[in-house]
Amino acid sequence: MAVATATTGFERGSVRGPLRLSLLLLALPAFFVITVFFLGPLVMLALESVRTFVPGRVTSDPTFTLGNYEKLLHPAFIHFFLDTFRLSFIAVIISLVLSYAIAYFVARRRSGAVRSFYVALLIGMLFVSGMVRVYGLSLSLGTVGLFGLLREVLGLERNNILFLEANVIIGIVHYTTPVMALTLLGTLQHIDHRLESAAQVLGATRARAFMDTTLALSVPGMTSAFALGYAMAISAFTIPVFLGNGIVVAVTMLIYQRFSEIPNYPFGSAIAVSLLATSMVVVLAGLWLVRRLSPAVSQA
Amino acid sequence: MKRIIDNIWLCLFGFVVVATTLFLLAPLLMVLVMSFDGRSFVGRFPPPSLSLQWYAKFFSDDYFLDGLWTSITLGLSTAAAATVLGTGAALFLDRTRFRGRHFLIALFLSPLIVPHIVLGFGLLVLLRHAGLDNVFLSLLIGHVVVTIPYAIRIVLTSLQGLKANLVEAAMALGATEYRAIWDVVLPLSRTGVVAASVVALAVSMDEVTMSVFLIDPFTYTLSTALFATMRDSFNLVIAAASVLLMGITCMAVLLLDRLVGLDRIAGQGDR
Repeated sequence: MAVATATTGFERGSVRGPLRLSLLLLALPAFFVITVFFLGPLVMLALESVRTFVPGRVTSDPTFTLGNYEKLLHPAFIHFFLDTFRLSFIAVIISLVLSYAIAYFVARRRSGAVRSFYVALLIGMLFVSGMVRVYGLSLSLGTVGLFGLLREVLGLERNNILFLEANVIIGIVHYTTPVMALTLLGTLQHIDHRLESAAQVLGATRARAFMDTTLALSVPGMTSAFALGYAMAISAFTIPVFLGNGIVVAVTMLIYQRFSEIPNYPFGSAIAVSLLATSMVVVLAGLWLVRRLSPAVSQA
Repeated sequence: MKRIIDNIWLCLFGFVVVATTLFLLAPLLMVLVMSFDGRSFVGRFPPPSLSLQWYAKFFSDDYFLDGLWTSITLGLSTAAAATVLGTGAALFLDRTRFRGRHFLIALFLSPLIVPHIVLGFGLLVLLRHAGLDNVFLSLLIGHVVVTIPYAIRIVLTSLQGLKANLVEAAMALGATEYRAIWDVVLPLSRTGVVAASVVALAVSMDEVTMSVFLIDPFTYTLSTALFATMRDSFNLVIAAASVLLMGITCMAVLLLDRLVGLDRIAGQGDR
């Protein structure tokens, strides 16, 4: 994202007096909505997660309990979490390679049709409905597409777990690659490509020159792309639902089940709080790492 | 020797770029082609004959049309509300400096990083406790929460791009600060404001993960209708609906390109 520098903007002095007050009034509605309907639900989840579940009733008993979190420590549930983290990790590593290649390819072009095409493709992919993408993937990979062919050739079982896991990984790669490519594009455009030429002139192979200059300088960008992609991957919901065929179960699906199939709000809330905490840790760790890795100035 | 390694490296790189491009596009093309399938069942790709039957089915199915209508009204209401609220917040954040300003910006943007499934479940619990049972209003609240960050970020960026001397000129000519903001700043940031509402509309039309917690059998969006249909059966009406959604997406992207330029969104590089 392009960030305007202080010199091109307004005189950045703060306005005072009645104008400041009326601007404050303009901001209040947004503040109200975010506080009540964004922070509110998160607080409610935290409260609900320590209440006692009453079987057969939608309202829970206000008696304090940590039982819902204790239940999460059961091996079966740990397993779901680990599965989600493992599949997401594999997928985002693949996305990192693919998105890096695309971003590198686009960053070398300052103008022209190829660049416009890719920028439109990447931004367009962000806007294409998630349902459409998942549907397209399940058509391409499912019985009428690739899987149908593979099944004929290899004689795979309908619910082959490795195949379904691969499906989910492919879905996540498709979901995260455009966003990560745009993040990396921002980084790579600011790296001087003449460094690479210089390394080549001095005798390095293309690969070596790339790794020692551009790749080394883009580690902070890669870190933030990875953190962003990973946070997206573990929060993905429609991808595991439709590409995992009910056999691959992601954490997000557990939450939905506690609402739609076996209503248990306290336990659902405990899972949701755990998922939120995990994704916060990923994002914050990413930010922290980026700050550690970046040379002092090149923030923004 | 060095040349051979270099050529292998270039080939490998070219292969990854081409393969990734095809991989990103293939599922969308698949949907496009299959939506014109002439068969009455979901058969192997490619379709042996073409027809518009799935589009006809979509437009004669009240279930989908009701969803489409809700999506459109919800999307427009969300875009209007998020843009008005977001512009108000952006004006305040742009023109004032105070301790905790960065914290406030982070708070305003934080719905972007919270998983929608968590937000959906939380909103459900909150709204049940509050006793709100109007589905459209619940959906509107949820959609406004997830689109406000986009609106604030886009409008704030466009405000920060304005030249300081325009406001100074207005005030030198006798305008009060109010008039300078109302007559100069807001009109100049209108592309940002319009871009914000386009993005909010697109995000709202897409949203499904949070919405599935808030709908009921009578009020639902097109995306959640697709969600329910895909779970039950696998027919190509969904492909036709998907192509229509992709058409809307293309229009939104073209509109954004005309308004702000896609390259500005992606960042131009050395600047």
